[in-house]
Amino acid sequence: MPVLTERAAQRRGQQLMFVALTFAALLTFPMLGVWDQPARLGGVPVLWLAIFGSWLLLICLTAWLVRHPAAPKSEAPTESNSINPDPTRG
Amino acid sequence: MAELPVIGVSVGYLAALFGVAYWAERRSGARRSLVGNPYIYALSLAVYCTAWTYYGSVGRASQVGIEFLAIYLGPTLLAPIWWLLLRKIIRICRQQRLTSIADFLSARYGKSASLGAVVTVLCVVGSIPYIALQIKAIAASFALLTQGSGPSVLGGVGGVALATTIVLAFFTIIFGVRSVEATERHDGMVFAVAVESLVKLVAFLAVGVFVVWGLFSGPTDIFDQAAAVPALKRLFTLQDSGVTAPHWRTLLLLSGAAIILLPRQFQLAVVENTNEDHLRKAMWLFPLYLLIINLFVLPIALGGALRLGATDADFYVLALPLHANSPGLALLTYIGGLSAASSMIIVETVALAVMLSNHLLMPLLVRIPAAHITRRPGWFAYLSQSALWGRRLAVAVVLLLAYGWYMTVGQGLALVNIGLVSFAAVAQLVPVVLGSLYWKGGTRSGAMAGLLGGFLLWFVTLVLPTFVGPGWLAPQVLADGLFGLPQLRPEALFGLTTLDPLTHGLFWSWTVNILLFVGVSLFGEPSGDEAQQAVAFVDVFKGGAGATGAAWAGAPLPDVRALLTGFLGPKRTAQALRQFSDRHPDALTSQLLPANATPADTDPRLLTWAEKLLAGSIGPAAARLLLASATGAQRVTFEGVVGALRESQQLVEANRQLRRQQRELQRLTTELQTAYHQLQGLDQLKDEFLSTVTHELRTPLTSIRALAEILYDVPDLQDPERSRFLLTITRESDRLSRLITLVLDLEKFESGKATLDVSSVDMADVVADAVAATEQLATERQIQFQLDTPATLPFVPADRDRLMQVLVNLLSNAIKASPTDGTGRISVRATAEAGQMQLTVTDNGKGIDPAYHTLIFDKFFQARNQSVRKPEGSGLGLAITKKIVELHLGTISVESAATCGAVFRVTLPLVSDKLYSRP
Repeated sequence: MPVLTERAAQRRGQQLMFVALTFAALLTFPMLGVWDQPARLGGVPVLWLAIFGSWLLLICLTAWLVRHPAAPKSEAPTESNSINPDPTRG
Repeated sequence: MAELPVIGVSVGYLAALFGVAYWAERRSGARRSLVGNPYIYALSLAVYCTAWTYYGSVGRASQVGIEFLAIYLGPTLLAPIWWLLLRKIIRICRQQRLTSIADFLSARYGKSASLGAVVTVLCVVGSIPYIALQIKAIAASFALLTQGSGPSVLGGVGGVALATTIVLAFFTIIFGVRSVEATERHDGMVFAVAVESLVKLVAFLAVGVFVVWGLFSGPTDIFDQAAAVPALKRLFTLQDSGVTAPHWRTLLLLSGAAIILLPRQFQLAVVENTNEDHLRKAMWLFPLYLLIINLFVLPIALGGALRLGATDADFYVLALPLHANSPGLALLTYIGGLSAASSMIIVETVALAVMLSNHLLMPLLVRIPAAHITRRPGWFAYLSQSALWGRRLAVAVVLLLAYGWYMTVGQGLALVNIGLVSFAAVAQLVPVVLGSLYWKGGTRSGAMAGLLGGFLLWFVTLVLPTFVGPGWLAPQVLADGLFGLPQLRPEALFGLTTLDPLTHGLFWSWTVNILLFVGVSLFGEPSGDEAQQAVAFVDVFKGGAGATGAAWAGAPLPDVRALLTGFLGPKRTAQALRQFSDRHPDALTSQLLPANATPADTDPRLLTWAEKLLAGSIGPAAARLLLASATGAQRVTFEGVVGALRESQQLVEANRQLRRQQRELQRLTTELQTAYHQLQGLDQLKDEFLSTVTHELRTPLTSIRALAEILYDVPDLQDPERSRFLLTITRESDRLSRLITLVLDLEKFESGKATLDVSSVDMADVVADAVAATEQLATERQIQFQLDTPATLPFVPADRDRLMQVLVNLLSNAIKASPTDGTGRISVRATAEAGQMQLTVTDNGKGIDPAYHTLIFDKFFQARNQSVRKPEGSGLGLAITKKIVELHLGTISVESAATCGAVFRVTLPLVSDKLYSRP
């Protein structure tokens, strides 16, 4: 699986932030007020559809943005990883 | 349904879960961990969906419609930036071996024990209603399931709640606080929670499908039927449900904060995380889980309202299958609810127990000094046991408190309202946590003030109103305000009535919290420890953090070993020390072998290592205290090091200044000496000059005076004689005045007052004039001139009169030196090359000893050295000549041997801007 370079990883962080902020704007008032009306589509209230639709879109966008692991450099080994629990424990 | 089978199924389910957990732990012990993958990680995070979600969401939706979704949209909106935020927290906690949110904040603000204690109390107080909510859910669902099955074995809802509490306390202890070593990871528990997340999802979806397609004919049918009922149709929009924009925003903020900061979320998302990369999948899997589990909430709520009417809406999920006579589905639903509630209780209680033990119990215990050095290993083992039993006790205490709260306050409240109060409590941690991640200026006092202030406001605005129900608080307090002050109405502080109670509470508590945190931080100064930790936290991704260098000193190795053995057991201690020596091969490797352990001081890095190991077991603040008190290690404080450095730096600086001043003084002394010598020389020159000038003046004066006396004394002097005498007097006077003119000229040149009247001068012309002026003298001495001054010579920028003076001086000097027997020849030659005019005056006279080639240009040289050449003349001519040439930026030199004439060479620049600009 391809990994990201340091720079691409930084860029991805900004893209994720952008996605979060965009959907925060979409899913709060006043923007949410656009859908906040009694109309129904196929029997289902449009507000319900709009919220779940945005929700699904947000999940897909996030999944797409994080499809590659970050560069191994930023996954520095940490001390906790090196002290494994005693195999006899439990 | 009869009680006993339900009890059997419940306990059986929990026991099965325990079996699963035990199996998972065995697997991870054998290095075939089931937990180390992103799917288990994401599922375990779904502990967020408690009984509140499972039962309460439906109840909430039947009252205020889609509003319930905000609690899941908040975490969803935050999920994309987990990669930035949560990963940073995970990295910090791993580097510093932090095992709870209290550890995290205590470590950030200088490993402060008091701050850890405050955070712990805040979390416990905030979580108890939330745990009570789970107990209530289990008890109420049990009661509902067993309704109408005769007299209760357990004695009604209260009895069920008590039994639930006891059973769950037991399971929590064996799930989470079983190990003799108080370690930080609980693979079995995580796996069990993940399984429970799956169970509750499946159960809830089953109910959803059953309601939508079993009781109704699809979602359109439910919505259509609901749209026909005005009370239900209003639930389709937020505005008709009475949800305001601030309220919606408040819910998003609260749930966004809760997803990371709730003790159980922190435990699973941060402490139990095995690999940062798992976040990548969890970032979208977890929101997806939330989406799926919420799909059927509104349909079930509407279906429940349509089918059951005014029953307790919180339990539509269970009541609908019961109503439809599907006991199997009802039991599955009940198990799903049990999963949701028990996973929350287990993880939350374990997290709180660790916090209570690490931040309230251990800091007290480790302060008790060890009695005697030989008894230390026993004392450490005792401490380790105390930590474990402390945790078990804490589990029981927390659950009993929750039970008590449920029995006294919680019974009358809806599930969701209880949960939101808890959310608002942990939301008080948000400013301090964000500050600790991104702001280096936060201080311990600021964090403490912010937390206490926010906590107080939270209590007044959100908790006090719930006390009215059980009668602990007179209802008129809400109307009239605390202490009868109308400004202190808990739900309308200072008359702020425009906000709903939750937004009102969050607004006031956050405002006070943030202002105190930032304000107190800005007006204080972070200590050295705080500054160091600030860098380790804020710059955790920039590397180098965590390596704190020589922070400890002065502890003998056997003591450190004994301390570690007491806590970790001999096997893990040996393992840890081996790992340390692998990592730092230079650090006293021989000392790590027990046989030749010397009492020399341990490597400071080993002490830091030990501190981190202990922090995993008993918390950072207690670990620091313990290491200091048990091994006698001295903490080399940052301030101490900086202070010592600063002092020595000041000394070095002072020393340097002294040396600089000394050198300056030496230089000044040398300059003074030089100046003194120059002055002395000048003084001598002046004396010589004066004596020479007076001597030169006296010679003509003497002759004038003698002749004048003769003329006076001998009145009858004959005419020719008288004329001769008078002529001599005149000539001597001329000479005198010339001499004076020369002296004045020289003085002018030497003092720099002489000025040049520069114009373009034709050199040939000047030479001709000068020759004409001296021709008479030359003719008298039978000397012939040879001129070589081509007419093509360029013009020279010069003062014509001064240049004339130079030439006349040189010519008369040459004339005086030349032989008078008719062989005397003087040649004047002018050439122009390389931007310079060269003028040579050559004679074939006596010549000048090379030793005097520079001296002849001194004043009165010939006067003092009459023997050399030029017995005639004032002795000022050449000196003035040189001055004039130098004033023209030219040079003058002489070439000569003692007997064969002399060549005077004058070089003048042909172009000189400087010359023109001179005054």
